[in-house]
Amino acid sequence: MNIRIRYIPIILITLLAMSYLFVQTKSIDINKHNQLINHFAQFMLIDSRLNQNILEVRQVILTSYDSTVGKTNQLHKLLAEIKFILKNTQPKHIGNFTPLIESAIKSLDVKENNIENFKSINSIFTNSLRYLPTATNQLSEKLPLDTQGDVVTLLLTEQLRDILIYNYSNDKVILDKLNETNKLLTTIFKKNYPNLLNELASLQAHTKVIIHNKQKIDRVVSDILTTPSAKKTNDILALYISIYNQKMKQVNFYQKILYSLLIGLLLYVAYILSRLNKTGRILQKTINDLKYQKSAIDQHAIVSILDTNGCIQYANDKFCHISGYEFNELINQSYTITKASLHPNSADHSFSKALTHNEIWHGNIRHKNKSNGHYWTDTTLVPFMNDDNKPYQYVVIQTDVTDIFNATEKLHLQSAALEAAANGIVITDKSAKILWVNSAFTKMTGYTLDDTTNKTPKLLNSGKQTKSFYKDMWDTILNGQSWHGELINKRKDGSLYSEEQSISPVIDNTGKISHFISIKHDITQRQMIEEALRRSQKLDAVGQLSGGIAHDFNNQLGINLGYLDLVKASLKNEPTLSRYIDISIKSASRCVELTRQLLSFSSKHSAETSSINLNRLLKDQELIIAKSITPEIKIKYVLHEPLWTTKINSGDFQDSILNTVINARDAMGNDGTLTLTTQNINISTDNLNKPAGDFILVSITDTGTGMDKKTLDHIFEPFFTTKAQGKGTGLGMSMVYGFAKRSGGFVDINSELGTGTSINIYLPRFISEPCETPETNESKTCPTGTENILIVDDEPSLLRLTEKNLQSLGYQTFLANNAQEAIDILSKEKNIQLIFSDVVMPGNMNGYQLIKQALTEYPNLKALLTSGHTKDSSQKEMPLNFSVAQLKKPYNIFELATHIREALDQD
Amino acid sequence: MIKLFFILYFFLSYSVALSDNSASLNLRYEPIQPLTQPHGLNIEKVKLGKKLFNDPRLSHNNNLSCASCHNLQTNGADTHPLAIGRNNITLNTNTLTVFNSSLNHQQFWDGRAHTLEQQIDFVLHSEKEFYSDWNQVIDKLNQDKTLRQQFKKVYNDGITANSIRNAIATFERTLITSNSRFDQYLLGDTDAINAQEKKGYRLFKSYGCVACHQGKNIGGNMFMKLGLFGNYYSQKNNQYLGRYNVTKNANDLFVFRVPSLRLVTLTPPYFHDGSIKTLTEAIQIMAKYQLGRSIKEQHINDIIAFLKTLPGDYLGESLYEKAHKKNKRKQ
Repeated sequence: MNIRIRYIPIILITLLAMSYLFVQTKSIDINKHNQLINHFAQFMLIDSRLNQNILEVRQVILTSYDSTVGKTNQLHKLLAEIKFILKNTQPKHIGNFTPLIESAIKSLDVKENNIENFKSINSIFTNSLRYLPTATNQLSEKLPLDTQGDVVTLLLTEQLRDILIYNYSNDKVILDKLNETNKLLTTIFKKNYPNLLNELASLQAHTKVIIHNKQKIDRVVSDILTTPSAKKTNDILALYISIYNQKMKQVNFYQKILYSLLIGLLLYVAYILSRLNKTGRILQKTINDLKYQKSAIDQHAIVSILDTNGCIQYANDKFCHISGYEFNELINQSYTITKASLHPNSADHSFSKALTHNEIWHGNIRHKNKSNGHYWTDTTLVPFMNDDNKPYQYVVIQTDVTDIFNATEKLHLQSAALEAAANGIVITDKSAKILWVNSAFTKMTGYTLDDTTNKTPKLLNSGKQTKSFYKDMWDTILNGQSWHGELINKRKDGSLYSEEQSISPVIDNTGKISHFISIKHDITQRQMIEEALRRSQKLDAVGQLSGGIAHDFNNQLGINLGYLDLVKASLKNEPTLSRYIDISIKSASRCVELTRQLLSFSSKHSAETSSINLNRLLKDQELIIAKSITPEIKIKYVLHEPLWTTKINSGDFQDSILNTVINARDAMGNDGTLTLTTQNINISTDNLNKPAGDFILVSITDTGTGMDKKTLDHIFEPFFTTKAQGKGTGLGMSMVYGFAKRSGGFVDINSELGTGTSINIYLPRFISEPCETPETNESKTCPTGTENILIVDDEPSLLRLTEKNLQSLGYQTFLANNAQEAIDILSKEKNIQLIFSDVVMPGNMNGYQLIKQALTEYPNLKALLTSGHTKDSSQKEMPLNFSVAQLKKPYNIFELATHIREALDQD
Repeated sequence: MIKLFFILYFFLSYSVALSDNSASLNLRYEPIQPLTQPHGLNIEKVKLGKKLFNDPRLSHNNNLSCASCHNLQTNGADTHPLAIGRNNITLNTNTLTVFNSSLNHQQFWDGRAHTLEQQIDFVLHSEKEFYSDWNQVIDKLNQDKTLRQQFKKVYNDGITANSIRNAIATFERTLITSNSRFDQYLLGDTDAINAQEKKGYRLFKSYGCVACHQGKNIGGNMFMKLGLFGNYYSQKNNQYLGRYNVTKNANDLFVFRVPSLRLVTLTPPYFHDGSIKTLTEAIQIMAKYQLGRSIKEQHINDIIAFLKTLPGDYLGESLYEKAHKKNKRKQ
């Protein structure tokens, strides 16, 4: 490129110079020159021919003048043409030529005249010469044949001879002699032959013509031959040749320069060609490189080329692949074919703006592929400019960054998660300098991210830990291992808190520790929970204890009731005694009820739900509720009948009621009214705050202090309490909330400061056969039988009571104190139809194991178990796939009779 | 093969040698040479020239053409003693024949034109003849479309004075009366002329007539004073001064271009002024004033017999026989 621009003016100047020189060399028109020289040559030739012809005519070698005809005309014509050519080719020198030419023409005219003269004279001369011998002879013949005549004849003959000689010479002597002879002859003829005087005169006239014209003809011939027309023409030629040579010299000089320039130019062309060749090779290499670069780009990036209208003119395989379109589908389509229109408008706008403003554009764009999926690209648009600085195409190079974008999004989420994490997170570099903390950390410690900049976690040091504690920690994490531990740290405000911390070192690519990540968990609350748990476990133990006592108590009550039944039966005729017995039985029954409630409380972990009428459940709990509150507080039950049944865990319900009642009690102090209300309620779909449907509403309303808004907001949070330390766990209301939720219902609270609080528990209606209330045994007759029954119980009084009852019902009974005895009896007595056993028994075998063994050995045997424990707790010990009917202790005779009969009738 | 070649070679060389011996040797030294037809002329120019030769538009009044005086049907001249120009004006000289005029070294009796081309100018401008000028002629001819096209075909410049002159002159150069009996004789046909005619030729040479009347055209290639022996003009009234009119040189008084004798038997009356009616008389005058001697009547007849062999053919027809037939018809 540079070479061309630098040398083009030089080449142009050289070419101009060469053209000038070429024109100069052509200033001599060689054709005209040749023509001119030819004319000169012709002139000379014709001129010399003319001279030759004249001489030939003179010598009578030629017998006509035809050869001279037109010659001078030709010479004139040649001169005119020479003049014409010179005028055209030598306009500068024509001034020098003109006089020469004029003089040549003049001399040619002279020559022409001389030739005409020569022809005339020659004709006259030769004619006379030719006639002279005849004339002489004719005159001689006329002379008399005498001496005088002979002399005259001799004289005439001599004259003839002399004339002939004179013709070929210019001898003056002969001329003189001829003149003398002429005079002599005239004298003789006048004197002697006057009659022949005319004849002589005629002869002498011819003689005179010869003599007279002889000199003339010689002069004319001489003039013709020496006429300088040829010489003058020669002068013109000489002048022309000298000018020509001069010019030729110059032309030769120009030619030399021209040839050297030409050689130079050829050398330069050769140089250019070699350079071009080299450039071509470089260009080829560049093209190859570009090809490879293009293919490299194609391998890496999504490449497309847009025309000035934004239509796709080229798209590489990657483009086709990612967009899902075929190459042919993309060509001549607008670039908007992949436009997703989902990224911010500004990106769209700036891209189209770049297309119109011809700027390089860079940015991320979200695209839509053929199947309406999306992908992100990192896009660069480069306009290609032509010489007018106008774009002729745009090259768009894109990189698929969909994964990066997704990862970024994920990272963003993760970072948000970290930020939102409940645990405090601290990231430090390897020298423990804090790089980042999350908001949970701030919440935990009071230190913000700015506060911790360029600080280490030492700022939390409370001094409660020993130096060796920290050394141990550092040794662990610097070893590349994670450290876990609990420690007490100091907040920004100086207060202390407990935290569980785990520190993990981050290992970089080189295997070295680059960062530490510390996750802190404020365990103050957990410690409180643990405390609560400990307390609840204590309660559980109390429950278990009371359960155990209640069991034994139940047994004793059962015995008591059983014998009271027997006494009553035997005192049918003593009405006063019977009345006393009835009071006693009633009192014992009341004791049974009390123990049952106690047992129910202790087994609160049961998750079993059942269809329940809440009114009955509340009545069952009436006693415990009454005992839970201070006597000054009045309890009012407003129980609507009939109440719908619900399916709940009754224990949880009772706990919830108890918790709520205790809260009400605490809110009221020593005075007030507690109202328990049940009612059916239908919540329509119009009520947006509550779920729609049929609910049973249980309201516990007190006339206590009420709660403020702040307390209401937190009331269901675990461990939230307004009570003095140690008085409450803060779990009561959250337990209520959890129970309602679990049961498919909800809780709402109406509270007004100074007026009181109403806790409303909504429990969903359950439509099924309601559990039948047990009927009184008086109204029923006991089923009877005659089968043999083996009774197993470790309590002898109970064993005997059961024996009496069963015998009264008509059955044959066998008794065993423990499992072993029972096995023995079974092996002896083959006709036993039913084994009726207590579950809890001392010895190696409990009731379950006994029944299992017995049923294995005697497949036809029927079995019935009885237990003082609740069904649920006793079932825990029951082996799997074991289905034997159970009778709950204490039972009356009716219950016994019914269960025995059912067991016996079972298939 | 070689034998055959030698035989052929000898035969050819013998025949060539034979032909050389019979004719050429004689002809080389004869003062009269046979006429030859011109060659290398542009036939288109000739055609155009012929048209112009007969074209009266060359004259002022469109009533005279070259052919008006130079009648190619007869002898290339008229029959008047003196030529008659426009409006019947009588010119100074007798009309010379246009036949063989291209062989003359100069044109007119006084040689005032060097070439045929120049000759045209004199006639064209002459008050007594065409009384025209070139602009007039060119204007007139340019109105003729076909003529214009014909000119354009042959001359790049179209109708110009030069092209008109050249066309006419080119045509005139074709007017050569070759193939005369005498020429046939010269070219070797010894029987082409009879004994008297041969005798006439011999006398023509020996009396010295050939001193002036020589060459192809038998004259026409030189000037000569009329009256070398004695003053011819002393007996004449018409005093045409001849070449003196051109050169104004006293030596050129009564000097004329020697006329051609080719068609002399067809172009009476004779001399520049047409004053001599018969050949016999003309020959007698010539002998007396030019040769300084007298010729016997018998010899004159012989010479006339010779002169009658000189006219050749024009357009393949013998001019002499044509004239003879014409005369016969007249009778």
